Amino acid sequence: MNRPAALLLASCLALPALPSEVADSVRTVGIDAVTVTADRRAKDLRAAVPTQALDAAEMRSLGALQLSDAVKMMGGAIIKDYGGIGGLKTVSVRSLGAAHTGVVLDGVPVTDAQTGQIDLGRFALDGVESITLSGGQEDGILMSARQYASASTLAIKTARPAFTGKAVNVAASVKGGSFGFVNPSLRLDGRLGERLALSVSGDYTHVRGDYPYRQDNGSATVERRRENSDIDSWHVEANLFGHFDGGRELTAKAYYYASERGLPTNILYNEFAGQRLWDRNFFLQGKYTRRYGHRWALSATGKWNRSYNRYYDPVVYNAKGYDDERYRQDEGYVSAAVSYRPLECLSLSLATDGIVNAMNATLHGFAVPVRYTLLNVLAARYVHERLTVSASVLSTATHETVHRGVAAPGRHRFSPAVSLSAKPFGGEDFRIRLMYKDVFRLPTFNDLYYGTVGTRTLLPEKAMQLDGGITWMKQPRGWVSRWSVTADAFYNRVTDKIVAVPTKNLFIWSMMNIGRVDVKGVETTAEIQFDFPGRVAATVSGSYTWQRALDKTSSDEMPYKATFNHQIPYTPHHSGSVRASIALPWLNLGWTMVASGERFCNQYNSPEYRLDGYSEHNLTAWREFTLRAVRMKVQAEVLNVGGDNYEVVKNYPMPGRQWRAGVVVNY
Amino acid sequence: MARRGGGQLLDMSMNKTLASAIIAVCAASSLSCDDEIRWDTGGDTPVSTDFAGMYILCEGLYNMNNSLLAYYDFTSGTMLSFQDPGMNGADKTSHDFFKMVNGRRLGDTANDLQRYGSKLWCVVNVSSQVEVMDLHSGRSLGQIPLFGADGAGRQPRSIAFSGSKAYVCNFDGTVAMIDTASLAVERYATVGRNPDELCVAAGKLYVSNSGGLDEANPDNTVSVIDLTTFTETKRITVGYNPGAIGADEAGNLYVVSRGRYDYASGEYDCRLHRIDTQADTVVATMDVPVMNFCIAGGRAYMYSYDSEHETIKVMDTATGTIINDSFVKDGTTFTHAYQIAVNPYTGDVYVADAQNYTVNGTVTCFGQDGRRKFTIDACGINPNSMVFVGDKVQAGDGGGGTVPDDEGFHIDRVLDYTPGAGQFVNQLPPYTTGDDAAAMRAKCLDRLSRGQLVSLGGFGGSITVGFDRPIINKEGECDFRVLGNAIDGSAEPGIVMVARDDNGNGLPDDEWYELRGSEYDNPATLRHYAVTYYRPAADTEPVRWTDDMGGEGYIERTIHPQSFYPGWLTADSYTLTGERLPDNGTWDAARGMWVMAAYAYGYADNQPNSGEGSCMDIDWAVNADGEAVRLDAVDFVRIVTAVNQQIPTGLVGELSTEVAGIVPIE
Repeated sequence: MNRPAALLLASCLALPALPSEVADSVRTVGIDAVTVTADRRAKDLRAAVPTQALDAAEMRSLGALQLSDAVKMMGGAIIKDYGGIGGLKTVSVRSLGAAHTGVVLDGVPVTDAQTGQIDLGRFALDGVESITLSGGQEDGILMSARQYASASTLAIKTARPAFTGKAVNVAASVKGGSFGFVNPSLRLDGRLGERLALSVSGDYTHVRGDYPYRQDNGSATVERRRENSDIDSWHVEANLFGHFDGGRELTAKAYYYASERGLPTNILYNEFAGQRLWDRNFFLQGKYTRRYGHRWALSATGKWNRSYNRYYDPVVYNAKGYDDERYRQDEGYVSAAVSYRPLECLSLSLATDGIVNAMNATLHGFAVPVRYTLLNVLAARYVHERLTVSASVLSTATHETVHRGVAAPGRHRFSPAVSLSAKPFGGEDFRIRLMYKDVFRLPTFNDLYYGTVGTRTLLPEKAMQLDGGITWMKQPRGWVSRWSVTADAFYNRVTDKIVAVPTKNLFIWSMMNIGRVDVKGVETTAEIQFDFPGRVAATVSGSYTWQRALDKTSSDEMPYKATFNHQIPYTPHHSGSVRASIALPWLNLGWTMVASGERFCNQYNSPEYRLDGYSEHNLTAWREFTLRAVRMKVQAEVLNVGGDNYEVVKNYPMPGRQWRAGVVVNY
Repeated sequence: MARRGGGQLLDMSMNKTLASAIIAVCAASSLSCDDEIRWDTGGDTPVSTDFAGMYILCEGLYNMNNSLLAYYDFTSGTMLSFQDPGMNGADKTSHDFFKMVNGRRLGDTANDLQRYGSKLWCVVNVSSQVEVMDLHSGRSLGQIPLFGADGAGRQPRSIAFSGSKAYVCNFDGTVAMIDTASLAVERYATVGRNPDELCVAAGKLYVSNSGGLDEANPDNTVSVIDLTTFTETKRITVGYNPGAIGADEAGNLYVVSRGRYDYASGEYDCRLHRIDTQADTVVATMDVPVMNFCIAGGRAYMYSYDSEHETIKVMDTATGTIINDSFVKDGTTFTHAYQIAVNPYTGDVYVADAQNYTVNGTVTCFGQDGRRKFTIDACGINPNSMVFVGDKVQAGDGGGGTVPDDEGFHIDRVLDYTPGAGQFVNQLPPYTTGDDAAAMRAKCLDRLSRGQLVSLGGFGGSITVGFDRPIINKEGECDFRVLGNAIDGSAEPGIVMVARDDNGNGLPDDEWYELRGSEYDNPATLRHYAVTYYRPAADTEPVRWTDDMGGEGYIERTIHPQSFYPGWLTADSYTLTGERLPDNGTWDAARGMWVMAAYAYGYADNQPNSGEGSCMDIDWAVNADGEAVRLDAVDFVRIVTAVNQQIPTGLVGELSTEVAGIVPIE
């Protein structure tokens, strides 16, 4: 054994066990929200991979309704938003593209094999305890292999029920607001004996969404309303939480979501918009974990998911006179993971996941693909008070079959990742972190099989990430109770990027692995908390990201007007957010601002494709009080105070100033 | 706050560490010597004296509202541009000529651009509009919406013309018949599925029904429409997915069928069909991989794809034989050829290249020898049409030709043409070195007889015309229209004067009478006003003027490159006198633009041609003393620019009356 390794081992034998593996399952009611937030931030700062999180209290101060409202506050995250509550919202983290962001709901990934991206607008934040955006995996080492497979992960955690001397909790809320927004929700928590708790919740959202906007067109500029922008969505879910003797834990979820929405248009001189989209999604998932002493732990996860979309265009000049396409996806998923802790400071884990994805569609001649994926990951983690090192290697193997035509070939690839967090100065909570991660995404079913576009021979799209940064936190005594900063520099490289390339006809494109994007950037966040006398507390935090995401696609592909070295579309050089909240004894106030610099809506960065920068400000005010045994919260929000119909995506103007108000009743 | 000394020290070292870490982080990420963008320039800057310019229609991208009409001026060798306040960022240079002239954009996915007579017609597919413009100014004369009963756009694709009608095929399976004067949609005819293109041959309209929206089951017919009844009389079966269609002057008709797309090979299975327009049957099917073609001078210039690159072939349309298998002789290649056009003034062959369909395309010009002459940037995405404008009478231009608005009556003499200085002087009509006043009068007559605009320049500029027969004064009714290019908010009023040939010498040397317009009694109207224009030191300088009331100013330079002082005048200054109406241009702060309001009645180029505002009543005639005069008929008409106002934005320039013709009201 060489000398450094021996030192490492010696040092870890001498150290007491760290509580990093303790499950966060026992929660008591009445924890001061500030304390929770502070712990959360401290945990984020310890992470070796950049991690940002928001808890329920923080989300409340944002006036956030949809998951995307919260994610856009996070550094490095660029939300592509088609506007309004029904508009598609996807997130690209550090310019890797939306398909490289995985969404994990209570430990189990939510996926869409057809498009590879998840609409963040679909997740309401009612009943969500926290959301975490991280460049990797920070929920401990006992994780499914699939959670290692995304370049970045957006994890949503549902609040666990907590009971204070009664067997049933009831939470009911209703919100209303501009452009016909109505959103009632109901949640019932019941205690089933000592060990089990069941939570059932449901919500409904309706928005007319016909917000006015100005369609800029020089002297023919007109005020229009966004027609066919309505959405109705329903969501119900049931969660079972079990906590048994012998370190056994069980969670299960049944989830159903359904929506119908219009797809608005913004065409000059033509106001007709009639396209409709229906989504339905049902899944059942369960997770069981068991600890054997403090050395061994085991977990098993299973999920079955069905999703269904229907796209209807009432006016298409084909023989039928309309388009009505249906898409169905099924996913079966099982995972088993085991972790072993040979030393107090060293954990090893092995996880195996098996996934079956199948898709069918009413498209003419659709291939009807089935994909079998086997994922194995071996991970090791060394945790010391002043040093944390994680390393993992993921193996992905796929096999595909089709009912028609030729299937895409199977792929096999290893994906390594290493991260490190060091605390060089003993007494100071100052850490240096480094990360290397090389993952990829499989081509989606659309990439491979969609009509004339799909290309069977596509390779996976690779995303390599390097990150180096610092985190620093202080907890002075005085009015400033805590401050923290982080600064990271990153370099990402996307190779074999899957892009649509025209063939010989404008109407026939095909997917090819020709793209390459190099991303260099700096991402900083800062947070400061004040504790003033007289039960007044305030938090101010912000993030700023600078990134140069350059198209490095070989100019051989495009001899004229090469887009080599142009910033990729919809990626600002500068973006940032600020949020501030103040808790007064009788009222809470919040202000948030999201800002973006100019972007280009075309891969060629000439002036005509420049989109202006924007900033959006939201104000919230809420008050919590208790009426007999009922806790009530009354909240009002003004969104986009400036009222500007800015565009995140060209020709999809955002709604102007809106208000929302709501009341939540907890018993 | 109490602190231990050690903590202080640690803090200081920490600050340094933090600072250096941040600096290192920033430095590492901004080290970028290879990140410079190599910008492509706009290409070559060709000039020509054979013709004036070229419109390039770029369709843009679906749902991006970025169709763009660019104009390349061959007299100055520049793509016209302007500063568009609607653009973001510091560089607001726009080449959107349509927006430059009309202040608004064309719309979404413009598919076709054709000239017919003095008008330019643009078919905007996703916006479902046909935009009609004045050929020479680009000014919109009207927007024709094409929507179905359900409110959905019909998706117009292409346009063709015959007589006084325009025909537009729509993806909803119809052809619209539009009157070229009133711009009204008169009727629809039903054809096959998704008609892609259409052309007129042998007095009939041929429409290629692509059925392209049914990938599995495309259409395979060409509809024949009888133009007298405007009904479909026959469907000719051709190959699957027919597209490009065209005929030569002799009526030899060709249509491309693209077949079904083969996903495995990435190829179409194209065929070229020849149709006999007498029997309306397919007489030949050629296994030539043609995607698109254009016919000029008995030749079809066809481009095709083979597996490696596009090639251009030339076919004799009379015999259907390929006479040149590879037109391009100098090795020039294309990325994605998107349209081909022949310049009627030079015979040069222009090929639009859409590049990768998402960035600006190019237009490359070849001589008849197949050698590249120049390449210019199209300044927009997916260039799909080129239209040439010039001062020569066109020969063999299937899309153009003369369009007499009235069979009998016509202007047969231009007796005088003395414009004030102005931005369209020497351009409408064009002056070429050596032209004298007589040559300019002849050019005016040529333009007026084709319904094209003649500019009278600034205040006092005039034209005097005679007719093949007198205009009769009908009691209590308007008697004739003066055609101009006025649209709402863009009036450039001119006073109309009339005279009889009392002495019968054929010359306008008799007493002139003014038609008393609505502002005749306006106290702000100056009855006698004189302006003197001075030749500038250089052609590129503004023209100075003085008036007889101590005023002075300049006819300011605009985008037009030529001299604004009449080139054929030998004197270094000249004075024009007449009646001056109050300024009609005012700044409309709400709309952020200059509005040139029309007067109520009685002036040329004051109200749109189609309405009552362009109608004149000879009963309005007054003599020099303001007394009403009864005239049975008039033999001469003179139109005089009656305002002296410079609009201080680069596009409008000085207000100057334009005249496109005089027609009696039946």
